[in-house]
Amino acid sequence: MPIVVENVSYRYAPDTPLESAALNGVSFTVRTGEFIGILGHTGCGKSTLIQLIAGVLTPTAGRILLDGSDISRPDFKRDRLREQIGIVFQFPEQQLFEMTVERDVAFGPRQLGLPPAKVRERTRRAIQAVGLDYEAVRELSPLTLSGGEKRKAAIAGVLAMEPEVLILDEPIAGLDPVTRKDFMRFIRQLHRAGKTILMVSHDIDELSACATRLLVLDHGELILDDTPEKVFADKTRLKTLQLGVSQPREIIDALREKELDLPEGIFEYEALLSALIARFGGQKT
Amino acid sequence: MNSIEAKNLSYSYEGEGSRAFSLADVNFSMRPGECVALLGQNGSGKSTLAKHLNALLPLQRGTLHVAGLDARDAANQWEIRRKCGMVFQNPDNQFISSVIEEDIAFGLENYDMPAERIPAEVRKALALVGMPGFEKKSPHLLSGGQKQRIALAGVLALSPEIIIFDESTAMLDIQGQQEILHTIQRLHREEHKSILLITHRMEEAVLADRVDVMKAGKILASGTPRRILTDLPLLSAANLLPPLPVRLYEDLRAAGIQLAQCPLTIPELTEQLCRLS
Ligand SMILES: Nc1ncnc2c1ncn2[C@@H]1O[C@H](COP(=O)(O)OP(=O)(O)O)[C@@H](O)[C@H]1O
Ligand SMILES: Nc1ncnc2c1ncn2[C@@H]1O[C@H](COP(=O)(O)OP(=O)(O)O)[C@@H](O)[C@H]1O
Ligand SMILES: [Mg+2]
Ligand SMILES: [Mg+2]
Repeated sequence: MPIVVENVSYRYAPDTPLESAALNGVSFTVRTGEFIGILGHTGCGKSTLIQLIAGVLTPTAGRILLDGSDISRPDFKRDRLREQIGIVFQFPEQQLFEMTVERDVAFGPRQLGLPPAKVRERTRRAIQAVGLDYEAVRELSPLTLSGGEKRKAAIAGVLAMEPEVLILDEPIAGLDPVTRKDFMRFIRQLHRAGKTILMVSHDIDELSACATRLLVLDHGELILDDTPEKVFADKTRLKTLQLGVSQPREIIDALREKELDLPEGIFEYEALLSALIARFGGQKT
Repeated sequence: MNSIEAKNLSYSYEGEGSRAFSLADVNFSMRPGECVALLGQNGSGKSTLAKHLNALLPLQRGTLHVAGLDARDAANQWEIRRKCGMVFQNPDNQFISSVIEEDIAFGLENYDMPAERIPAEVRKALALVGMPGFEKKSPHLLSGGQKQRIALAGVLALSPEIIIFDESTAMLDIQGQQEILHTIQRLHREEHKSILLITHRMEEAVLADRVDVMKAGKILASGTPRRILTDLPLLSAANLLPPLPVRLYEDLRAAGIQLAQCPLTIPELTEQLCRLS
């Protein structure tokens, strides 16, 4: 189910003194099963872009097609969008509002008008999918959960809609490292199970390990759109953009600078470890 | 005299009778000019401790002195907040005014600074965070790193002795993280501020003089960055991950490749590996 973003621009508060051009002529296609990482400095338009794709905002120019239909046309079925594309906003835990975790997660499916048994089943599955203990948390107030658990509960609410495409806006910012790792493992599982993922993040280490494709935005323009390998290969470009490089990449580069003979183009941990074992293993120390 | 001296500090958000402690019998001190990194998983009590040091939470049990002021005495509350400033996590909700100089001046007025001295103090604070000339701009139109530096300028204008950064780089892009980290290092080295750096980033923790680890409202361990950050059983007990060079050191060792010393930073790691070849 491809999503085509076609020459999309967006301006906040158009024709007012506060007008601000957030996106300019952005085009790309999201193919089924991709894991797209979205990178760029604060204010470059990442959140605007994903809100356009989820239909929360409407393009000022250009269009977005879901299975060939323009999602901003009045005759487009908005329900289809809500069923197919799930969006997790930044700090989703701030939007928990029901008395119990179960009721909060069930909110979306109930709105879809599903029969109660089906709602319950989906709710249970979604809560388990994010790694929470269904029986233990279902009757709890969301307010009693820890920060990481709250975020998981909020994401379960989006998963319970069983969307094919899951869009996440900086989902791991502010989480501790172990919670981040657990969370990314979970997102990778969803990806392996066939979901299409779009994820905004500043965490180059995680994105290089998970994403199949990266989009880099700069001042509202899409300036890079390629595989992580290709994006990270262009070192001078990355430096001028100041997006950072992954730590494994930094290590390999530092070693190559010292004339150690190691392969180029490594940017995630397991590959770094194998390369170092291949280079130094077997040698007596 | 220590900048911070907390003894047997306990706190429950449910009130004094409760046994659900967010701080449980914490002893914590900082020497003047010391930079302490505080690590711990989400919910371990870091912010609760920080809010005590900043007089944002009332003392329930234990004693606390901040810059020599007794936190038990409600009359000291304002002076404690001035002596111990705090920069929070979210860059977006720390501003009251839409003009930067007004925002910084607001804090100064609260502390009865004579109006004619305010512009000079604002200028000085902006220079300290590397943002001279931003007086008339709006904080809302800045990048995340710039917003955090303006928030810091508001704190610095009050000439604090101690500055707490409560995950102040967590929401920032790489550039913003580096801006803040450089500013923190400068305040520590050149202005000799005492700094409490609450963070999940190991690259930040290794720069501290001391690293403390919290778990479930308690301080689990305290020591040099090298001692704490290479102690894998301790980190694992606190549900934390070691810095990547430490992890690599261990994985290489398991594969039969032994480095002379466990590296904490990427330059240390590179040096050790170069020696192997
Ligand atoms: N509600 C809004 N009103 C006016 N301008 C906005 C609004 N939201 C975002 N902007 C502006 O649009 C640009 C892109 O913002 P955003 O998409 O939030 O960036 P990012 O998510 O990459 O940090 C920024 O310059 C920002 O200031
Ligand atoms: N305002 C509050 N009301 C009730 N409980 C709280 C509040 N703030 C924090 N807590 C609880 O206190 C514990 C410690 O929280 P906190 O100090 O914020 O941890 P950290 O900053 O290490 O993530 C957690 O269990 C948290 O749920
Ligand atoms: Mg954003
Ligand atoms: Mg906190």
